[in-house]
Amino acid sequence: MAFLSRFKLDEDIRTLNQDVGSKKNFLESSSPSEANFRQTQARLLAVEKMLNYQWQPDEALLKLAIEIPKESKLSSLLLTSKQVVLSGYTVDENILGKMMNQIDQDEKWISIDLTNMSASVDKGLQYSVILGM
Amino acid sequence: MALDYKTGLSRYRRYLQVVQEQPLWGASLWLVLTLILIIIMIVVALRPTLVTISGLLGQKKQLTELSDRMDKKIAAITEAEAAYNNISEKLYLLDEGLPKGLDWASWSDRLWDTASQSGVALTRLELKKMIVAGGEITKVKETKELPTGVKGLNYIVTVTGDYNHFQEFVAGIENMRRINVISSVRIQRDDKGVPVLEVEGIVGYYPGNEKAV
Repeated sequence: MAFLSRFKLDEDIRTLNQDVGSKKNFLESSSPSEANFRQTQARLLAVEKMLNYQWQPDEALLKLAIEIPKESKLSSLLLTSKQVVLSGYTVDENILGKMMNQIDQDEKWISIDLTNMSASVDKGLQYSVILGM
Repeated sequence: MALDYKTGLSRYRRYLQVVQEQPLWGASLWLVLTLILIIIMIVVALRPTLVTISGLLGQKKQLTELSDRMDKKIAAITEAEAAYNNISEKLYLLDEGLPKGLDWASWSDRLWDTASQSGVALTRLELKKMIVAGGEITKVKETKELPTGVKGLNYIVTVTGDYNHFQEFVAGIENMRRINVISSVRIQRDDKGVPVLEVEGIVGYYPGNEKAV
């Protein structure tokens, strides 16, 4: 009985070895395709992440174009993914008030800081505002 | 105590002598001893076979597990191949969005096109770090803004125009098929009072198995 079992086991192992060998050959022949799948998958994930990084600065520019009155002139604007720093000047404080009011109503800006305001004869009322996103 | 021990042994010896003298008990004793000997001989004879059988059982178990793992991997590869074939027609978009090489020439061509379509004048394009074809490779590092495995070329593009066209140009960069990550947008006036837009960004590529430089 023990000897018969051994013969059966030998036969089983021989069959399994053949099976594993043929599967190994298949996997080896598929390895370039597998590498290609993996790289494509990694690239797709990278693209998804990069698209998630995009923070639509054009939308912020469009909103600012609407919210900054035409009577107010921009001297500089710096836009990053976290904040907007804008400086400009206007002829009187009512226009600045109107601008601040419009910016305040926009939910895109999570914080608004009027950091600097000064008056000069040639340019009128100069201001600097930091908007948080 | 020593006397007791000797007394017990002599009593047992006498008992065996008595038993040996009785035919039935004598035969039983020999039968038992023979059976014990046969069992010992069978165990000794079968031991190597039993050891081999247990080894073969272990080997069979390992091969079965390996075969099962391979089956799973083959199934995964077949599934991935089917999924890949389904999207293969659209993969050119991936090659355009995140190519395997820097391909900066076609990217800069698209940037010029975007500028002219937006109505701005491109006055300056600064590439911070780049690969020179056929020359020594300048180090292009992975940056914080890019995912692992993606390398980027930092650039600053300067254009002149008006605010509305600036907005169009920035939207054009964002909507380019080649993915750009914009770091900052700056609008200011130059010495002559002309509005100038400066866009700082990164254009990425995926070198794959190439070692990070």
